[in-house]
Amino acid sequence: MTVLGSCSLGLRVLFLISAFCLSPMASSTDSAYLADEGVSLGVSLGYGQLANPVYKKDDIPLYALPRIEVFAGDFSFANTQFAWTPVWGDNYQVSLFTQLNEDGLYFTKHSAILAAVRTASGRPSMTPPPPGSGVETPVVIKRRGDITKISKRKLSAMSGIEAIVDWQNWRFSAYWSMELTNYHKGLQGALSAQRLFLFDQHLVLLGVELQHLSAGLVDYYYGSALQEMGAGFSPFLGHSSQKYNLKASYQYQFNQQWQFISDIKYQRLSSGIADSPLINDSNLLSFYAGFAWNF
Amino acid sequence: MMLLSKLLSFLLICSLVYIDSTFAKAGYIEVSPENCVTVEQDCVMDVSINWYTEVSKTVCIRVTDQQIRLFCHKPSQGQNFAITVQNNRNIVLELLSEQLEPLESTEISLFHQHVKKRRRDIAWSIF
Repeated sequence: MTVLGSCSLGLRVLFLISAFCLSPMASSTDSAYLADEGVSLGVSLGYGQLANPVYKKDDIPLYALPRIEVFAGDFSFANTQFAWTPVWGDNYQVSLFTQLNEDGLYFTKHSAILAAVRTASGRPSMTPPPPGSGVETPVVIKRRGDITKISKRKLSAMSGIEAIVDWQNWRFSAYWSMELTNYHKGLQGALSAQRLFLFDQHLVLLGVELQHLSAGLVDYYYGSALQEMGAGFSPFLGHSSQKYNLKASYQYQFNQQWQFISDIKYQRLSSGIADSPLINDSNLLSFYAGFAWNF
Repeated sequence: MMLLSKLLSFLLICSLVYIDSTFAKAGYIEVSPENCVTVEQDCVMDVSINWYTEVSKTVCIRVTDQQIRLFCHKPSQGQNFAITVQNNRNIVLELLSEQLEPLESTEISLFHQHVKKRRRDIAWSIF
């Protein structure tokens, strides 16, 4: 989903308003960041979508979400994330983790099928206008082709180290990860800050994140080489790039089992990714809202 | 008159029963601490036992934790008798006569504290 710059501004305003207005009501953050030892299961039904920036690839719809979490000693498994936390204290933890790379999701078979269904998506042509059309064009010129004929991008797994520090109602984290699956040998890191507000049964979380992707990772997913050029795309060599994320969550706990959950994330892709001919949108808005049942 | 004397007899009997239950137990066994809170499967801790009885000149103390342990030939009054106990449920301590007749008993209550694990993110964090 393409969004305008005002959405970014809106989230920032929301962030500031919340920071000032909700602070007096905020209580300890501990409970939200703690889990009971053992297995925890849940399922959520609702509606949302994960924005897909890839040309002629539809946003990935979200209707039902599972929650499968296992906490055993210093080990944890949460859906597809596996973590070992050998170092931890009252307000910090250091984990080694493994998780799937989100860029690979944009090229999965599921989203490809959706894109095939919507062949006439009505997206504007990105071919350059004829000379002399009178409008100054951006420097970057993208030539589109047949997205179904590009080389296959596989979903990769990343493994790395993450450090988290909690301070009052803030959580600061940094991670660095490298690829495990050996498709692109890429690296990815991030710095993030989250502010959590808990009052009565309400939970509000606001966060910012800066992600860094290495050239290898960007080039594997968004580069355009021989096969892509054969499919009609202009050439593109991926460079190390950034993703800027703003995130907001709201949850309401009806009782031990029932919860209302909602998440929204605005993501801006830096030019290192956005200039790829495979990329259609550089401003992405993903969201989900639904009811969750915790077993 | 007859009714009154019956009522007084009844009250007298009740009083005697009460006095008997109150003063016949001339003894006690106490343990400190009385509670054990643990995050592990077993509670392991050092405890101190005090006891007193008029029933027997020497007594035994029976500790039922992972095994049954008997400490005999103890005087009728003792203080700060230190032992280490270990169990995954309540621990029973009994004061026994030399003939191993139970005189008094007490318990160490065990509470398992559920370990909270730190999360990388809040539950139901989607993006």
